[in-house]
Amino acid sequence: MNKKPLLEVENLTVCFKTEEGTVEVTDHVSFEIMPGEIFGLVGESGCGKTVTALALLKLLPAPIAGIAAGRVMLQGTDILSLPPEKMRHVRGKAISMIFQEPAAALNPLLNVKSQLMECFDYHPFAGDKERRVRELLQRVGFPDPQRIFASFPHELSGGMLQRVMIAMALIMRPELIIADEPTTALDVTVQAQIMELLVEMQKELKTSILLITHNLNLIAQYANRLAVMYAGRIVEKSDLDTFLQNPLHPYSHGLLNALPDLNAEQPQLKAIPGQVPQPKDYEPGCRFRERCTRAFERCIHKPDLLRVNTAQEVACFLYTKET
Amino acid sequence: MNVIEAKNLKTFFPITGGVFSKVTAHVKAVNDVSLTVKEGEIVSVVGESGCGKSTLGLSILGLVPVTSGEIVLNGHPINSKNPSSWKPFRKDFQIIFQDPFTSLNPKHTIFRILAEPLLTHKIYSRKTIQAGVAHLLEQVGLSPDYVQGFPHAFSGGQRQRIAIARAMSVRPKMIICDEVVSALDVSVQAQIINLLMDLKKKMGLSLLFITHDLSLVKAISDRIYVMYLGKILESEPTPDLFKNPQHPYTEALLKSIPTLDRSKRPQILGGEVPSPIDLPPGCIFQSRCPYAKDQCGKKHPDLVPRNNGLVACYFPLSPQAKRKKKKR
Repeated sequence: MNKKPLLEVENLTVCFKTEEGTVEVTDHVSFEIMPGEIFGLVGESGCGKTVTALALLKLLPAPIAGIAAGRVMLQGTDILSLPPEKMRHVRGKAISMIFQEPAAALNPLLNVKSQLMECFDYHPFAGDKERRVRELLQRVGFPDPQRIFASFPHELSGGMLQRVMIAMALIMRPELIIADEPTTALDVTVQAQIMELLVEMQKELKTSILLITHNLNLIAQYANRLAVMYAGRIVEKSDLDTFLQNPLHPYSHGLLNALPDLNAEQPQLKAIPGQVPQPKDYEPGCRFRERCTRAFERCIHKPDLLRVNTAQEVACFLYTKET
Repeated sequence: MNVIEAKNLKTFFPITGGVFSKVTAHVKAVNDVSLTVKEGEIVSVVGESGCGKSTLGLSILGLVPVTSGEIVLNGHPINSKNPSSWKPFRKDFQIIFQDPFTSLNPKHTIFRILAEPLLTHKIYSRKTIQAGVAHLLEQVGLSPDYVQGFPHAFSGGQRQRIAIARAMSVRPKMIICDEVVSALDVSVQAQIINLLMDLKKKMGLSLLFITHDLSLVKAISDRIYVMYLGKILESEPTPDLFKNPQHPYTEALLKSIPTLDRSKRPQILGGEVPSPIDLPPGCIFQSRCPYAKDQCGKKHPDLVPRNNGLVACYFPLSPQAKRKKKKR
């Protein structure tokens, strides 16, 4: 890799204060996103993927949640150390976000136009502001932007709202779009429309996307690289083609097997036994140990994420030589 | 024998407006649906959100007022105008809901949740009820030590197991499963489905799965109904549906699902589901259909037998036919 990464996340650790004490919901999460790539972050609910996304933009609900350690380098600057007014120039301009529930992410009391034009209050823009927004709306599939301008969120369907969100995220031509479960609230046929639009826009504007989802199929179709998260840690990081042919971590295997394969003649469902641990029960050792069929004595220690070949990194003792 | 037989079932919800709350229109949630489930069969109803699939499940059990149509349960016709006519069948026909966080009473212990149906239907007496509840929990893979816990203490997967135990407690003939795994994580989804399949084999149940997840349906069901805007568009045995979908909507649904196969990109079906309030004349799918012709604008096609199934389309797809897509 000779290109410099756009975003480097190093040892990001997020803590939540609860009645039972402080719990670490993400544990030294590190990954990097290259310019122009789609990076997938996959994991089950509660594994810390959304918390990671919010931490990147310093949007964690203070004072309950806080970043305990780590750096987030955006083109060489640590954005976590920026003062709030500087951070405001990053949000929406350098990094923008598309949320899971478009209906909840938009203000129900304001029309679409005022919500789309709001970003110009915070970021300088030379040129015709309204024209820029109109063009983007047409680009995301609204032939009549004037009508959408006057609409309120409740008048639009879920797919239309998500397209408004995409247009909103693109106004300032960000370097990176964080898409947190962008299609989970939508139907399959609409999901395909939205994903195709997102990828098209990404190619056209040469932005990067951090695609966060629980849907491995979606990652398989659209991402270039991925990280698999389990119980607050990244357990595997890989090139996508390599991952699909040769997943390394037992959890990755389990996830791939648990998906019913639509291409198979007679699909089988292979469950992973047990259940995802709660953050307060997180163990210092390998957190997948309880559910892993290949666990052995060493697994009571914490496995580090280590590179095993040119394309893959994995946090599992099965792949590290005895020392 | 047919466990469920529904003929021309209609469930319309009135929309009222104006000063006198006059009925101004109807949401045609279930619009002329006929469906059968044979003994021991696993049948699935698939469709996008708002297509009326959940209302169909509720209508069969009389949990929403049915507008018209015939329902025959276990060979006995039901008077759909009289809610109490379902009562003798309540024990044999159970339902499991989508969200295990709202379907269990948060103020009741697991013991109380599971003991209630057992005592109501006199399956266990007060003396033996402890053993009965423990046996139920074991059947669904939970430790009997949990009986004094409240629902909030359990994870989504465990709660869904409790909901399954409750449905199984009265030894039903039939369970309607309304999106039972869509609130769960993938690794847990497979556990719950496998549990249901095991219980089905052991107890000789029939199952009606209501879901939007086609890949799940392929793994478990014998026969599939594809629903769109309150109507059945196609019904086929599972292998036929996946190999040779006959209705353009089924084809589009299958092609829009992302899979792990990177060489097969999901294909896009344009548009969105229209509102079920004022349906346009003609075929209800024509506004999104890539193959629509003039004839499709006149009347909605009837559901007619073709090959191994039923299809409601004037120009059903044949396996080899390569149709020219109309420019949209």
